[in-house]
Amino acid sequence: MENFMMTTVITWLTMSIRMATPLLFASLGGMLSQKAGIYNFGLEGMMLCGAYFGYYGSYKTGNPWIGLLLGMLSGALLGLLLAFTSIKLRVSQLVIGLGIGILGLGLTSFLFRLIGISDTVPAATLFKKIDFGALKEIPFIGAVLFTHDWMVYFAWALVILTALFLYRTTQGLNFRAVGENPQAADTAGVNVILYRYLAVIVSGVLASLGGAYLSLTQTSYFTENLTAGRGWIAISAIILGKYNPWGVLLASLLFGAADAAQMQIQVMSLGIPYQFLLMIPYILAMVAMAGVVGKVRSPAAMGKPYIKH
Amino acid sequence: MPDQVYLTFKNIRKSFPGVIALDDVSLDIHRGEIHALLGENGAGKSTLMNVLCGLYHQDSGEIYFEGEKYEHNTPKNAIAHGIGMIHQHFMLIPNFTVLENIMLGQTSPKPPSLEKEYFRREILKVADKFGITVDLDKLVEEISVGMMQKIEILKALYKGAELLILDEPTSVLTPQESQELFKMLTDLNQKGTTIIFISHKLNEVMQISERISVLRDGKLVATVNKKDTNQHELSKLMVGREVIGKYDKGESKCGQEVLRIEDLALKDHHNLHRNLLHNISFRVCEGEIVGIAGVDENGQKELAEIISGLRKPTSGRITMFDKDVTQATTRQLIEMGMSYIPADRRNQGLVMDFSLAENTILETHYQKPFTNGISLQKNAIAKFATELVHEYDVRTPSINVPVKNLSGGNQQKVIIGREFSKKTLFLLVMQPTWGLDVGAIEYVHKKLLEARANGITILLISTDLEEVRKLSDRILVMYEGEIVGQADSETSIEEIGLMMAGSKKQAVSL
Repeated sequence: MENFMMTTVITWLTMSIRMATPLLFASLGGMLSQKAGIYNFGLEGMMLCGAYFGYYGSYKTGNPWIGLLLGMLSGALLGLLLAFTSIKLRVSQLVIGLGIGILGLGLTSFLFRLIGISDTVPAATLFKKIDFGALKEIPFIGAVLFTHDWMVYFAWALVILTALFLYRTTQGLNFRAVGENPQAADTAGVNVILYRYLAVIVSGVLASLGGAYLSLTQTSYFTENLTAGRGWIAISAIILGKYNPWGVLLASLLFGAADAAQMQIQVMSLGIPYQFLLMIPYILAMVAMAGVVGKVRSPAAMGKPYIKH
Repeated sequence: MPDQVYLTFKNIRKSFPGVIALDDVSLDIHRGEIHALLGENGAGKSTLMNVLCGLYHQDSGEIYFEGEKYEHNTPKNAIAHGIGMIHQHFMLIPNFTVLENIMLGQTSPKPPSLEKEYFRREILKVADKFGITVDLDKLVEEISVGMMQKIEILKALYKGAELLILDEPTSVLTPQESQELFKMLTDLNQKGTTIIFISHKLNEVMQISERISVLRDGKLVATVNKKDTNQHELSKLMVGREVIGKYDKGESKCGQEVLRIEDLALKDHHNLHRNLLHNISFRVCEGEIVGIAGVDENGQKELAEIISGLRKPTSGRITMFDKDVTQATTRQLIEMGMSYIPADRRNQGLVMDFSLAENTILETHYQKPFTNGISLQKNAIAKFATELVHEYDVRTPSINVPVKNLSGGNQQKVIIGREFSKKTLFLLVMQPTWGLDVGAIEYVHKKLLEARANGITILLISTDLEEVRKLSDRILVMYEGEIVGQADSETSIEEIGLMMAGSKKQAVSL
C-alpha cells in the first residue's frame, strides 16, 4: 500500500512538471509582453499555432526541430501582428488579443482538416527524453526531476535567463521602465517602440513554444483545441506570479499540479464525474484572480498605447 | 560670460489639430543666465521646450546651439547636447529606486550588466559636487514631492546637463520648498548652469530670473530685463490687458451654522493602518467663504467626496442645516440645497460626450419640467440650456455640441451655470480655476463672490494659495489628512506655508 502511495506521488509530481511546462512558456512570454506595457490576450491562439505547426513540420519532415522552428515562426508572426496593431495602429489590446486567440483556434482547426482526416491521425516524430544515466536512479528525485525531455529544462533555464535579464541588465531596466512610464523612458533616451515590438514578438515565440511542447513531446498528434484553454490559464499564472519570473514558475507549477491531480483522480476512478475534476485548474485560476495572492502591482502603463507627437 | 548667445530659436512654428501652439517664435538664450518663460496656460511655453527636448517636432523653424544648427531633435540627442528638462509631471517611475531612475537609459561600463555600484559612485560624485543630498535606495513612491524634484534635477545634472529647463516647478511645492528650490537654482547657476524657468507666476519670475520672455497665444510678446520691468508691466504683457489684483469683497455677514464636521476620519481602503483623513472638525456659517488650503494630495479630494456624499467616512459626523447627513446620499444632499463643483471637471463635473444641453440637467433630469415622468422634455431642456448659455456667457456654436468641444473656461461656465441655477444654499467647490486663463479665472471668482453676497455658504478647496487668500473669509490648512491650522487673509504667506508643509501645527477645533 505504501509502495502504491509512493508511486502515485511520484507520478503526480512528474506529471505536474510536464503539465506546468506549456504554461510556463506561455506565461513567461505573456509576462514579458505585459512588463513592456502590452497585454497579450492572444496567448491561447499563439500556443495553438505553435502546437499545430510544430506537429505539421515534424510530421512532414520527420524532424521535430523543423516542426519546432515552424511553430516558433508562427508565434513570431502572430506576435508581430499583435505588436503592429496595438503599437502602431493602437487598436484595443483586448480586442486584438482576443481576436488572435480565436483566430488561432479557427486557423489550426481548419488547417488540420485540410491535411486530410483518415481513420488514423498521422503521428509526428517526438523529441526524445534526455538520458541522465545514473541521476535517474536517485530514489524519488531521479524519477521526478530527471525523466523529462530538453524542453522542460529549457523552460527552467528561461526562468533564470528572464530574471537575469530583467533585474541585472541595463536593457532589462529599460524594458521594465517602458512598461511603467514610457514617457520617462523615452526622455531618458530609451527606444520605447522598439522595446515594445521585441517584447511582443518574443512573447509570441515563447507562447508558441508552449504549444509546440504539447504536440512535440506529449501527444505527437494535433487535435482541435489541443491546448484546451492553457493560454488563458497562463494569463492568470502571470498575475498569480506577480509579474516576476520566479513567481510565474511557481504559479505554473501550481496550475500544472492541479492539472496533473485532475488527470490522476480520473485514472483512479473514485466515482467523481470527470467534468468536475476538469474544472480544478480553472477554479484555481479564478481564485487566484480574485486576489487571494494579495495586492498585485501590474506595470503602470500596461494596456496604454504610447503616443508620441 | 553672460551675453554670449548659447541657444537660438528661429521662427519656430508648431500646430496641433485645431490650434497653433507656436507662431513664429524667435528667441535667444544666453550662456549662464536664468531666463524665465512667462505666459498663461496654453501660451506655448511648454510646447517650445518640448520641441527643444525632442518630445515634439516643430513644423518649421530652426534651433541653433552656439551658432551651429541643431537638427534631429530627439530626446537622446537633447541629452547629448547638455539639455536637461524637468517636466511638470515628473518623469520618474514610482516603484523604481532613486538609483534606478537616475541610471535609466545610461550605458553600462560593462554591458549588458547593470553595474549598480558603479552608477551609485558616479551619481554620488555629481551630487556632492552640486551639494545635493539624496538617499539613492529609497523607492520614488516613498519620497516627498520636493525630493522628487531634486532627483529630477540631479538626474539631469548627472547626464551632463549644462542647460536646465524647469516647467512650472513650483506648482507642486509649498512656499518653503519653492524657496529651497530657488536657492538651489541660484547655486547651480553660479556653478555655470544655464537655466530656463517656465512659469505663470509673476513673483517667482521676478525673484529668480535675469531676463524674462513673455509668450501669449503662441507668440513671443517681449523679452525684457528684470531690472527694467515690474510685476504690473509683466502681467499686462502676459494677459494683454489690465488685471485685477485684489477683490473688494466686503465684510462677511456670518449667520447661522450651515455645515458642521465633527471628528471625521477616513481609513485607506487598501491599507487600514493608513489614515487618509484624521481628526477633522470645523464648521462653516451662512454667507461666508471658508477656504481650505494645502498642497495637492493631502486629503482634500477625500474630504470633498465625503461632504458631497460620494464616499462614506470611517467615523465622524456631518451635520448640514442641523440635520445629520453622515449617511445621506448625494441626491438627498442636492435636494437639501448642496451644490458641488468638483476639481476634475472632465471626469466628475461633466459627461464629455453628452451635449451641452444634456450636461445642464445632469442633476435635475428627473424633475419637472425636464421630464414628465417617462420621457425627457426636449423643449424644456433646450429652453433652460439656452437661457444658461446666455446668462453665463458660454461661448458655444450651439447647445447641442458635445461639451468636450468647448474650452476649459466655457466648460467651467456650464458647470457654474448649472449649479447656480438650482436652489443652492451650500456650495462645495474644489479647484474652480484649475487650467483656466486669467479672464476665466476672474469670471469664476466674481461669480463666487456674488454667490457669497447673496447669502450662499461656500467651502472652497484649492491648492492655489493666492486664490484661497483672495476669496476666503477664513482659511483652514490641510496637511496629511488633518486640519493643521487656521488663518485669514491677513495671515502671511510664510506662515500659511509653514502650515502647508506640516512644520507648524495648531489645534483647530469647532
